[in-house]
Amino acid sequence: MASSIENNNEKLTLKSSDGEEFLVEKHVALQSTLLQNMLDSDCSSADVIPLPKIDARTLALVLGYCKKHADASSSKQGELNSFDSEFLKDMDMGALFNLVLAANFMEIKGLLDIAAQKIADTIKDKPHQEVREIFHVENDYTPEEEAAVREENRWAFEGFP
Amino acid sequence: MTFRSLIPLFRRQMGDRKRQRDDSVHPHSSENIELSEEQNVSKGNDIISSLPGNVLHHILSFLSTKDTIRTSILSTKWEYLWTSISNIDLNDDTFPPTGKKEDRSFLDFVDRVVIFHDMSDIKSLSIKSSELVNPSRVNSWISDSMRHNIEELNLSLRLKAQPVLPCHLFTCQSLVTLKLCMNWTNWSLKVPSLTHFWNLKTLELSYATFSDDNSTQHLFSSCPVLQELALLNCGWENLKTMTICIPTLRRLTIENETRWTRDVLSCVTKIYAANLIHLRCISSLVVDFRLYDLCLLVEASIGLYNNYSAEDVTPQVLGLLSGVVNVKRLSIKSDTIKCLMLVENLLDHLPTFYNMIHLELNLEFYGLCFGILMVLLEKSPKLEFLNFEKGFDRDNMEGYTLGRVPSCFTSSLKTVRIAYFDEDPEEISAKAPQSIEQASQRLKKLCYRVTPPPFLNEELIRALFEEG
Repeated sequence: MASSIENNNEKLTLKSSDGEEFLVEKHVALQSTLLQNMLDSDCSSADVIPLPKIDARTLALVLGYCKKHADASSSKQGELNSFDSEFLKDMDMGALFNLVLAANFMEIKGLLDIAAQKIADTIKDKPHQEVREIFHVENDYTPEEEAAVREENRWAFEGFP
Repeated sequence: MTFRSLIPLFRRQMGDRKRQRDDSVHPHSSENIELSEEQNVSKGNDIISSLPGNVLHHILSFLSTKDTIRTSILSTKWEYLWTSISNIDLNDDTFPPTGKKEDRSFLDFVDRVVIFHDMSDIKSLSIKSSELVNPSRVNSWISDSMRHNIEELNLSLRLKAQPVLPCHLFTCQSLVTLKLCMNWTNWSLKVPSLTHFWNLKTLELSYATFSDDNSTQHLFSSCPVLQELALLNCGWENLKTMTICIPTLRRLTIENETRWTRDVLSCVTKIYAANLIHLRCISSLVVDFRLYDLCLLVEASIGLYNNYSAEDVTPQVLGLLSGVVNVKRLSIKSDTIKCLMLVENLLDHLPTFYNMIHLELNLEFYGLCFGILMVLLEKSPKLEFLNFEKGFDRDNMEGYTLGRVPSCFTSSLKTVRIAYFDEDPEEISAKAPQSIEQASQRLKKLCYRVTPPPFLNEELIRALFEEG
């Protein structure tokens, strides 16, 4: 990866939590509201911007998304939609959660939306036992408490085991 | 203890419990926008529960109300996450009563969802129930939702008594969409003198009985930015004149009881809507529609019914059709053709639809309609698409033809679509190519939907298209 380049307004350098640096074109970086605000508030683009919560693998994915959307802003929406659905296809849960956290931190609304939608789709229409299993949610209700929650919200559990 | 007096207690209990079990999750607290402590996103860890609150809420926002509330059972952390959902859609379709008296009814559940909602806004609230409900309970839902800056309110309910809506609903600033279907024998809509729907863009009223001319006009003139208005199965019997003067209106739907007769009501409806684009009007002819300034109208769907044969309905029928003369797409429903048959010298009186490119006959077409169809085609010189949406009544077609070829058949018509047309396309073109070609040189497509029953034959095609 390239190191920081001074006196170049068109590019900036992002540093992942594991120390890898990414040279990014400014218009690509602007997909992130966080970076946009930093640039607006006179943060020099010559500086290396550290992203301590985002590892290199995730950051590479995020920047791939940003590049596609920045470059295609004037092109067809349909093309972007198919890119988006391909982008998350076959992604494992760990990577997906890293991505949703990164999108949230960097304030990239489009990416946050598709990642959140993907996680929601996993929950949708599934019995809670299955959801617990997929996400490793530990059930800390007592059986009595669980029965009470179920009864209070009976409407939502109609048709579910 | 009444139910309402329990609310503070509920809130307190819930608040305590939330703080105790759920302190990391609050959708609007800024500290949670930051990433929470080092996320260990590896196999075997409960990653989802440790997501920052705003991300969790964002995920829940993509789920249905039902799926969201079901997450309450995952673990104690999830018990009240659903109380911040901004779109609430509660429908008792799938809520069969078990018959046990101590069971919570659907309405209790609605109370619970509305009351437990946290401090955040409710964007939309939709409640649909077939249980009989007290008007006071409905009013408390409305008031609660207004405290949460409700934008879309959609209630479809059966009432135990005459509903009187809370006055402050009529001056609600946050409301953008209001759909009320209050099933009560005679829901008399009382419009307060202080009424102003600041931001209302969509208003839909079902089964409301209008009190009088003035208050009805007052209601419509108190919606300065209204774009869509629907009056469905409303009571018009107290009205002599209904004036709908809404310059911002883009879509108007009126669906009336079609069996109304003169002894029930007689009402003139004046519509001034210079920006109207879509009009749907299904009504008995006892309502006399006068349409003004509909110069931007693109689409109209007309269904007229006539339940009194003695009087001359020519002015009503022609009034309505002349009012929509600018349309590009016209759909004619059910008895409208019968009403048109009552007009003497229709060809002389009907205006020419110079913009019309699409004509849909949303009725089962039968032989006697050919005369009216011929007039409509003569008056549609630019017609491109003729759609027999409900196909032909094959028992009543024989012996009828168009008589002559209307001019649009040789100039502009491109497609004729006949529903329930059940012949093999190859066969059709082999059997009757000439008659179709003769009838319309430019006819590019004869569409059909191959669905039962099979009945259309070559003869019928010829009857329709052959030169007389």
